[in-house]
Amino acid sequence: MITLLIIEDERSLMESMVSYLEPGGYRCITADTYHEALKQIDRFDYYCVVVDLNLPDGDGLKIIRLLKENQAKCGIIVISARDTLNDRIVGLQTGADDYLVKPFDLSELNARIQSVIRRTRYTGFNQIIFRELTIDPDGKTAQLNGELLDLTRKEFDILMYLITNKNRVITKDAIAEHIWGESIYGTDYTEMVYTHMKNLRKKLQQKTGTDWIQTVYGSGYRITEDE
Amino acid sequence: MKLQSQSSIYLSSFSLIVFVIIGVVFYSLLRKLSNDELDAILQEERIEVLSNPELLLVGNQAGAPFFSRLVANEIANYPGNQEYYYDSVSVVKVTGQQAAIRCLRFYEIVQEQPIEFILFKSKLPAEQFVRQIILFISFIAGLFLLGIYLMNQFAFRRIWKDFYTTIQSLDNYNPKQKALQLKSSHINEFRTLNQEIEKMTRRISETYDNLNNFTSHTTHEIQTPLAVIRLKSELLMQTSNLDNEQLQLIESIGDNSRHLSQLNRSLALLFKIDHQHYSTSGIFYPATGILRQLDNLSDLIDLKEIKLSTILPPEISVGIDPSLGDILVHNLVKNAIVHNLPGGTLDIKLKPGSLRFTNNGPEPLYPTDHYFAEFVKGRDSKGLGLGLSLIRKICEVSGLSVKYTYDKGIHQFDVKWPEKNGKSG
Repeated sequence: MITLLIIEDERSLMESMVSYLEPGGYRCITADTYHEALKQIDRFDYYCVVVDLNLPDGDGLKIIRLLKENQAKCGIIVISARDTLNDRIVGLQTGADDYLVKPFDLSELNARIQSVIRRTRYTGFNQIIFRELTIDPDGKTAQLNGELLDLTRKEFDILMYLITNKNRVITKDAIAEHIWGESIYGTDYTEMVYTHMKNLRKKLQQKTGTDWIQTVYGSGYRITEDE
Repeated sequence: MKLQSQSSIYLSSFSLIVFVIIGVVFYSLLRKLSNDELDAILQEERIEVLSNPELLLVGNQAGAPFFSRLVANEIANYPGNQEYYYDSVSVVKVTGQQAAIRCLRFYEIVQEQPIEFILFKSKLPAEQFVRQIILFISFIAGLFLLGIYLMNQFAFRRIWKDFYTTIQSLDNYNPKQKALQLKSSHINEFRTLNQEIEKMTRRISETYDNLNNFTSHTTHEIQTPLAVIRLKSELLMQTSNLDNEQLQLIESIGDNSRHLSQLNRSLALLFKIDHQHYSTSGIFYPATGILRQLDNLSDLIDLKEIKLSTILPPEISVGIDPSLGDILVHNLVKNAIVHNLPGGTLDIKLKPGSLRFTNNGPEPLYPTDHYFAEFVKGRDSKGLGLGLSLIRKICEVSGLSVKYTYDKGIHQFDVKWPEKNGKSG
């Protein structure tokens, strides 16, 4: 089973992350202090460690250094309210594989965890199978029953995001932020999301005959594994 | 003007005025003394003339002992025993030039005939003497002025040395560093000044630290509950059996928490720029940042069918912090796209020392400068109303100028920087 270590002092945040991630097939070990995190580090062979930098009794960066010194195979994702370019550079240079600024969407955290695990654990060729779809995340291609889907880069990214968070409602805001980043805030992105989503659904529907993506009224979209 | 130059000018001007006054008084005094001396000689000669009547008889004849100094004119009435001293001029026969003379006019009856006598004496030797004295005094005054100037220069450097050290320290002072530690001065006033500056910078540094900590903690503390709201609303959305109304309510909670997070982050960024968290130097290449943002917003450009034209030489740079430069061009590009009209145009021109954004857009509701203030939004804006405030703030702290103008449907942003502040080629 894929085991994750979540180091976060804010219990509400930690519980929310666990509630979202566990149904996705992860086992989540948690630590809400620096010292608790040190105890937990050696207990399991973690696939990914999600670490907050501001801990009440220590610095999250020290945990990252420790993991790197022990040559741990796990991926490391920083979650922090520190949002300057310099903070991100320091976090990544210390050894983190990704840096997520709080507040974030759970769907985004999930996507980042999966991406980090793919990069750190399955360095060779790896595919994602979803229903009749075979996805190559590195080549950014998707095949349906062996036939290549003609998707634009953004359509592919949206499809990957939905599949990573399959059976969950993903808001259009979360999709917009995932695709365009924070800079999209303040623009009329709803229509952009809608246009890309419409094209993606059309392309999928042409090949499968059914619409895999559901519109959740007024909120967002969901891709489901079942008919 | 430098303090030293100003001080030298004051001191020299004052000394010059004093010397001129002293010179005038001294000259008048010497003139008076010289005249008194001549008057005394003329009086002695008058007594001598009167005591030798034969001299009077030869008064106007050539070869007479007083001929050159005595003139006798017959007059109709004897005015009495009167005498007058006065200055006049006489023509020197040999050279034909006029020469100053001192005269004594008196009256006497000689052989029953009233006669006006004028005794006179050349003032030339006395005037030459006075002139020499004045020249000598002027020379001494000149030397004195030069001495004062040189002494002032020397004394100034020594006395004000501590003051200039203090100014240099203040010039280099940054609230990020601890309070200034200034050298003690042997001059009481400067010692007091340094002590007060040390106290003041200690207070500034403490205030800076407190404000910094407060903002950093506030930002963090606000982000945490906002993150909780966002995550909980996302989890809530995953629960089954929600009707459309409930879904919309949850979506609205998520939307607003997202808005608050952005607001908090942008205000924190404004604070950080204001409080010099960023470097005031660096090299930023605007073309790279602009192209990246244009690429990121290409969907929006396509959606609005904006006609884009750019002149972006990649080698042109601006001497500002690269992350601030990125935020600056990022906001300029976003502003020109978001507030553009469907089918509008966007021209971006980068030249050494200037960057210009020209785009179509609706007529502004307020005077253009008003939009640089915080929370002033354009028509139907979905943003925070902080984009232009960030642009202005970054320009302010980085030594750039920004101008926003509107004319007949065209909005124009001009950012300029001194060319030595950047490089090209």
